[in-house]
Amino acid sequence: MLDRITNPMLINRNLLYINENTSKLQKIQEQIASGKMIRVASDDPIGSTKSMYLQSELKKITQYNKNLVDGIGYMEQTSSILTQVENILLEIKEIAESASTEITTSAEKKALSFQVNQLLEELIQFSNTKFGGKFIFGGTETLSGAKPNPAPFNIRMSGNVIAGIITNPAGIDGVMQRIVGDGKTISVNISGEDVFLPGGTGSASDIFTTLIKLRDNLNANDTPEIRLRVSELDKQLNQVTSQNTLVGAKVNRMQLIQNQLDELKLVQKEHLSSIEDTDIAEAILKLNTQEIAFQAALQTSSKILRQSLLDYI
Amino acid sequence: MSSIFAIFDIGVRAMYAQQIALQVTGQNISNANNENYVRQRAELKEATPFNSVPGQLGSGVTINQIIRIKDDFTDYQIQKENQNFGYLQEKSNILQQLENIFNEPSENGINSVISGFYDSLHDLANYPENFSSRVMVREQGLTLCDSFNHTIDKIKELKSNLNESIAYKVSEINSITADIADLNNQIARAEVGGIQNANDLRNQRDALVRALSQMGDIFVQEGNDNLLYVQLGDTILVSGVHQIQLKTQTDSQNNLRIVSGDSNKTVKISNGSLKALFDTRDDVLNKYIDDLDTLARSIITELNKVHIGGIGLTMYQSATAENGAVASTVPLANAGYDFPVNGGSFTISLYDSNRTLKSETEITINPFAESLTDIAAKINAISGLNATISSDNKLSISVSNPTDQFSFLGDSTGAKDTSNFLMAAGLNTFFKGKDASSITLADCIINDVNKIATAKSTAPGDNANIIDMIATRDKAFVNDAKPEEYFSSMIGDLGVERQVTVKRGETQQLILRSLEERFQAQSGVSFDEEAINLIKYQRGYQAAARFIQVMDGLINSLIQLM
Repeated sequence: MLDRITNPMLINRNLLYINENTSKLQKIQEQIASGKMIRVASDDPIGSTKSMYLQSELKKITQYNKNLVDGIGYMEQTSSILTQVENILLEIKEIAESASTEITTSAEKKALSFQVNQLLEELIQFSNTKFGGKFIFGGTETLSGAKPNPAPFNIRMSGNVIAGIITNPAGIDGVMQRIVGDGKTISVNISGEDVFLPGGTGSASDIFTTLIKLRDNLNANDTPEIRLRVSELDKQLNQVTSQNTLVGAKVNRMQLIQNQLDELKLVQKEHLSSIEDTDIAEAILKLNTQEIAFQAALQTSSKILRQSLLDYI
Repeated sequence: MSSIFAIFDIGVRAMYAQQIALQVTGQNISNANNENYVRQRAELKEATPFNSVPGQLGSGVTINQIIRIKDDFTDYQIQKENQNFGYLQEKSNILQQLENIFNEPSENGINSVISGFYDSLHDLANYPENFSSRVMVREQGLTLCDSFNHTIDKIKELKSNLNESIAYKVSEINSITADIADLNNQIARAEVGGIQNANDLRNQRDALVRALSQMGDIFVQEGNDNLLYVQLGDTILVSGVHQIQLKTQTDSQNNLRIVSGDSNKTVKISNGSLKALFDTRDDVLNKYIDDLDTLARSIITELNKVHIGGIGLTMYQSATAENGAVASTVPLANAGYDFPVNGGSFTISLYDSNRTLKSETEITINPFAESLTDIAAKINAISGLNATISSDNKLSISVSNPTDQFSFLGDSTGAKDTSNFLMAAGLNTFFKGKDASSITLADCIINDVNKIATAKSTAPGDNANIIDMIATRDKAFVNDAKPEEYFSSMIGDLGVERQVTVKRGETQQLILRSLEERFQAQSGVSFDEEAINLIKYQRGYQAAARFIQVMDGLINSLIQLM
């Protein structure tokens, strides 16, 4: 029991109350002004560990998203080139089909041969398409290959005509991966080999060889051979289409992952916010309560401290 | 029957006593706001009576003594609790500074920098051929290293500040103990004969002891000679009127320790702010330095391990080891590398300018038998490659034909370094250094970003190796934790440690406050009380004066008789 209340006690106590109130006010004010409940780890050690984890996770998700956007862009570009390749092949197939009947004359076939040669050149150009400075169908050999084969598909000329295609000797089948999740990767490139010559140069699946042959068959007016080309083209068209479908399926999958990541991001952002963000409404309410308490402390202090017997003697 | 003049004396004594009591009241009032002041009271006592007929006759009042009103036990408790409080307060201050150094959670602490570094690796994985994404990786890598270096520097700076604080506290203690010894001397002289209490001097001495008790585990005892003996831990600071100074000595690790100026014995301190300074300097800060070193070293090891197994956008025409051995002829196991060399092998693949493989050679290493010179000889034996050792014992490998190039990856076998020699010597590494203060990027990467090993083949679009580097982020390679996990739990630990210290400090403050309140309740000055005393003694004085006046009247009547 404290039976004597002395002046230092009164003063110290009042000072203490005022200090406590001010420091509480300052804390709330800081939380409102900064919008954050956690300034240093000791404000909430568990919360701050969680917040650091969530911040890392959010950055990761953002990066995965970036990788996905980039990969989707790359694949969409690939798909549009593949579609154009399909169109060229369709056009050539039509030419071959029309020439496979006996009705077309040899002169007409010569003209068609010229057309096929032009389309072949166009196709070669497409096969060497660059996106962002990188060969789309070069596998991981995205930059210039070794001389004298600077591109994935290089023309071998015989006199003035295209006699064949030499692929980059360093290979055109490497796989490019994009990271789209923790330990999750998706390859974003279609190898030139799979599109244009899955069976290798000169095989029945080699589109370039077929076109060169077709051109020469038309020139030579060799109808039975032309018919063979039509059936080859049929299969090759399938081969390109199936690659394009694969690209489409991958883009779909990547978009799906993107949606999942967006949802996850939202959830984690909310979680992070619930840990570290100030609930402004609650904080302002607290601020008001605290302010009243502070004023009360000031008022009572000024009243009590002024009272003294000395005023009456 | 006593003389009429003797009755006068009663009045005079009464007036004198009231006057003294008023003076004490005045002293109390004037010191009301002096925090260390202990209120005094003039103890009145009946003056020695006369033996007479019909009995003893009183001879008035006298001041027995002026006493301080205080409870020694409360004082003792305050001293004890002050020690705990001093410890917790100092520790919490230091931990706060440490928290500010780490600056977590924030957008620019080490945690974000680690994120930023891995993000840049992702961008490089997306575009391994791009110069700009390579430069970005270099810059983010440098930022990561800088953050480690900077944080460690700051912690070490804090550590040296603590040494300065210790030195400062020692000089403070010395000045306090000098004052105590001096006061001891004055008190001894004032209290000769033991009648008077040197109240004000004692107040000052108590205040000094209280200030001292925040700094360490102080023991005080007042001897029969009224002198205060002061001890810090097991070391005597004040013995009677003699002060024994404390000194600081610098040990081999540049840390200060406190020794007695007398015996040169180290002072053992087990509480108070000095204990907090020693604890944080020797344990807490070292723990965080060690933790950061572990993190940095794990990052260096793990990422280098992956990086060494890759090929950059351009291969090497010459490569110089980042780290030198102590000597070129000692076995590699004793060559003084920061990372150990094991038995195993690494492979060098030699290519022409068109990236066509010319040769692929496996170089086996026996670290206990072979020296750097032996390794150089083995490389020299490969046609088209030269190896030299510089004066600082760094291995250099270069091609003989200026258009040739080489890598450290088996072209056909995919064989990587199993001997750890490349990591130890610093060939085809990404980071250099061994801990948080020395971590930096390899010179080779700083000079040529195309040497960042993105691929596992010679193809420029191959990003397989950088994907493996990114995968380390989710591997528990730092003491069974992922790097970011490890760091954030370290920050969590610091947060808990500070929070606990602050909470305990607050509790301690409450205890101390209630003790101080008890002290003030007993020893503090109450204006109201003093006002009452003022009236009381004023009235006493007035009455005594009135008494003398009456006596004067009596004497007057007596004189008129004559």
